[in-house]
Amino acid sequence: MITTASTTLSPEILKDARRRERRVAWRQTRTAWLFIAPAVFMVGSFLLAPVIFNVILSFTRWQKFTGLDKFAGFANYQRLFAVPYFSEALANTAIWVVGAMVLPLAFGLGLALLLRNIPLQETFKSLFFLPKVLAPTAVGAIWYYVYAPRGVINSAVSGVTGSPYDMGWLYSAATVTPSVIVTFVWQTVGITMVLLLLGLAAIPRDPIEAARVDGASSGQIFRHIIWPLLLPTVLVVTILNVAAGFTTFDLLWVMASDFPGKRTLSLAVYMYYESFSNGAWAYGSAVAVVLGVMVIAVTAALAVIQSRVEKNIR
Amino acid sequence: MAVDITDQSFINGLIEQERRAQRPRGRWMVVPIVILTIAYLTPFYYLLVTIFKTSEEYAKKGVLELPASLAPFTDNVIQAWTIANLGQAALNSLSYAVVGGAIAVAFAASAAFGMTRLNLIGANGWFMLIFTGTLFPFQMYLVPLLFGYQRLGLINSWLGMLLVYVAICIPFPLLVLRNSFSSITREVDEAARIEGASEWRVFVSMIIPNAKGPLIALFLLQFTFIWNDLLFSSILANGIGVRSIMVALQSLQGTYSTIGPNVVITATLISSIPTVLLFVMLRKYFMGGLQLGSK
Amino acid sequence: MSLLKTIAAMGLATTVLVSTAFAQDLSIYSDKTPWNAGMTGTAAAAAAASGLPITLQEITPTDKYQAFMQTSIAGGNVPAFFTWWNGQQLNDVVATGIAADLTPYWDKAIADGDFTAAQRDLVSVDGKPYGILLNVANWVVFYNTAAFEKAGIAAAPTTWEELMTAADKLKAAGYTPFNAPTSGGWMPFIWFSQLVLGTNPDAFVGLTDGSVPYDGPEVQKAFEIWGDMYSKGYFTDPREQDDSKFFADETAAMFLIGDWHSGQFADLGMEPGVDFKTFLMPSVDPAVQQSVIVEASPIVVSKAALDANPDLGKAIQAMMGADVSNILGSQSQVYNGNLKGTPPNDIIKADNDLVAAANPRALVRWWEAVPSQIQGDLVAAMGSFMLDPTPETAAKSMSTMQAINADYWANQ
Repeated sequence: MITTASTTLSPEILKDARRRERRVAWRQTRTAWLFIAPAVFMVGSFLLAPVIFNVILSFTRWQKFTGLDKFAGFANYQRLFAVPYFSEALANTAIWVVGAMVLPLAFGLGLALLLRNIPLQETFKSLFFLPKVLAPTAVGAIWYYVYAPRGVINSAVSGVTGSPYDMGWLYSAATVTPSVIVTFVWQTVGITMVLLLLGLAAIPRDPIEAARVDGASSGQIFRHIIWPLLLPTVLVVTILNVAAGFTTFDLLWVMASDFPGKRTLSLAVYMYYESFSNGAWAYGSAVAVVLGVMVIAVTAALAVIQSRVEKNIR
Repeated sequence: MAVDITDQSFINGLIEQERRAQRPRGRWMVVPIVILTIAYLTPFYYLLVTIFKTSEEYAKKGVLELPASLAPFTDNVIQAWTIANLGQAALNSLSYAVVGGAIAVAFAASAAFGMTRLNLIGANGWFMLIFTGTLFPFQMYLVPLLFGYQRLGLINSWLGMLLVYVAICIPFPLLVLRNSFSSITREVDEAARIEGASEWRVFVSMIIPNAKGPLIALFLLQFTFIWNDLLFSSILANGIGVRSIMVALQSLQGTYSTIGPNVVITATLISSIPTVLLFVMLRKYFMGGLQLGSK
Repeated sequence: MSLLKTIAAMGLATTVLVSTAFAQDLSIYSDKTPWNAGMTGTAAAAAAASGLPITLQEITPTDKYQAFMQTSIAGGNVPAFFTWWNGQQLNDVVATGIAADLTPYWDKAIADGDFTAAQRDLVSVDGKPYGILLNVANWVVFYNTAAFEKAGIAAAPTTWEELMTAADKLKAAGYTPFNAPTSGGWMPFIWFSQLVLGTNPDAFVGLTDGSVPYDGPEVQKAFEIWGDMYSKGYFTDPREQDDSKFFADETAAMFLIGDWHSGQFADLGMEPGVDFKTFLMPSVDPAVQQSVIVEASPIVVSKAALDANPDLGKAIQAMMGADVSNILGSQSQVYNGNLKGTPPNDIIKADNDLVAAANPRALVRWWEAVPSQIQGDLVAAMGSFMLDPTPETAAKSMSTMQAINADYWANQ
């Protein structure tokens, strides 16, 4: 508005107009501050300040009761590699992230494709989605008994084979992580499937029809048409699941509560035990910082890929 | 392949192909779906079968066997209720979830309004500031919050838990509402402002009613999140008077193994009722909320 | 109401609510939930004696309780009374300066004949007592009298060889000799420490002060014996989480545990002294002097609370008196060692007599002696062995334990 009038108005009037606009903008901004204040205050005090404090903590010597005021440099981070437990927790977390990234997607996609054109779709959708509404604590409590030595799985196996079977799924180092991951997949496949169904529904039918008319097989249609168009949704699902894979705590804590090696089942659990069980607060904070950096790095990378893919599709 | 699309018989052939492709495949697909669903729902079958057993029955029978009668259910409920103090815990969680969820969505809506409808300088910066709250894993908040709450005397307090829940539940609704407020046409507020309405009035009377769908969906999602929380309540408010229902449930499952699984499973059922009920009744809003989130 | 006023009102309300929470907490904090009845009675007696509102606050499980206390102390917000452990654990708390020196109260109690000087030493650091005794327990072997009869064992074993023979006889009679669960996350250390203690008591002490390594010959010997006992089928399924189950349902005949557990068996319907009795665990190596593990749980008093509320002194005196001792004994079968109080059941009385007669070397429990920061990690390694008692797992457990142990002592 100002630019078009600049040829006809004098400089003083222009300056006045600009000043008035700025004043209006500032008044609006001040009102806006009132509107955003509650949210900024809450998030700043209870989420952001703790994160900063956490990073600071990881550079102190705080353990048990004392040392909060002592500076420790990078000692806590160096300790990460001195103790065997951190690498165990890291390895298990890597397994979790890969499992969380791949398994719910694979099963969810399969289910989504199966559910696409069947009657009673809404009922099946809701049934598969139901576990996601349940608390991880509740799911963990139920599956604890599913995996118990006298639990559902062992009973089913002994029913089939005829001889008693009391494998301790949650008591053996080799089977405990896969078992809990299975439960995680059980709980997550529903929401993954629903999101993928939404993504599938957004794919236009014409290219598919055209390809079918041309005689393309289902596999080819999937690979060349459906998958590329579904990729943004797949990436969104992956971001959600990867973050969950890094930070799963409730399930592990409830299900593996009897397993002696429970403290290294993931970085999240390891951080909890070091801080709240061993009282190594500063060290636990360092673990939390490492976990945080990893989560943010991976999800940021995925988010960047996702927005680029989305842009390409458009 | 050359195709004469004006040829009626060819069109009919296509329609036939389409019909054949759709229905029979659809009907045949139900079989593996049903099998998968049954396998998938086995834990729920286990739940249903267990809540009607007594402790002795559970110990003697196979875990997948049907119960003898429906009678032990009331006894299991009473046991679960009294041993874990589920009533108090449910009340706590309900208040946290309803009040916390509502306040969080309200604060988020207010902030979204400020960022989108008013000329906030640096609106994107403010948004990123709040949104980074979601990026960090919860583990990074725990120790500082515990320590800070200790100093402020907020440990084991209702207010302390509420404040934490509100803070955690702000970023995601903010993200969603920011998008949905942006899509409401400018004319609505301009008209109200010309009439002389204050910004608050514009917010309450014009914007909010236009975003009812997302607001309800978001409230439901935050309610479910707060109701299902274990970690924060377990660390910051562990006392019987203020703990969440999931902490109560976990206390049953953990230390006291003299209680049979039938009681623990019954407690699991009781603690899941509100969220399942909400889901069943307001499924449309839940699914809608997902759509908003995936954008 | 305008937006600004709403926000201001909320801010004011928050400040008011927060500031009212600053008042000194005069409660007794405890993680020992099975002793709830006795502790509630204790709190009531303390409140009555001092005229102050003293109540019981429980936080469970143990690691949550410890986390709460650690942040309380670090945050300067210590409750008036809290249960704790002696040994290194008490040293850590006393080093922070928040614990009240209870010398005058102990002097009076010893003069009155309630406690002995030896008992005061159990809760002392550098010669000064910092705790009120809540529980004094000897660690003994409970045994099922009917099982022993059925297996043809005439008298309780007094040597390791007799114990092993008894175990074989019990196996022949259809019992599992020892109940050994991994429940609670702490039990795995019981047999580990007993076997080290029974072969080399000096190594037992050295393990907890950093001088003896966890993968050295002394520990290797203990793991060998332990693994041997597992291969002979002497232990129950370690995955069981109910620590009383196998003893109560008479699958297992013996149970190595503190004698406070007799209360729990009594609750399950077994009669102390009739259905089950106790004997002291003999040393593995006959040349080694017999030792008994003594567990002493103190209640620590906050110095700040005592200074601000001198009447708490009356509460402390009440808690060291015979009445509270009897409350704890009758309500929760817990014996706090008060000489004027009545031992809660025959078992505890019998154990005290046994100890007096045998005069074994009294040692602090491994759990209290080990640095608390590595306590959980070390027990986890022991638990891993119990779930898979092979030489390979033993080697892995030992190297893990030593890595943690070495790292801790290197950073002190």
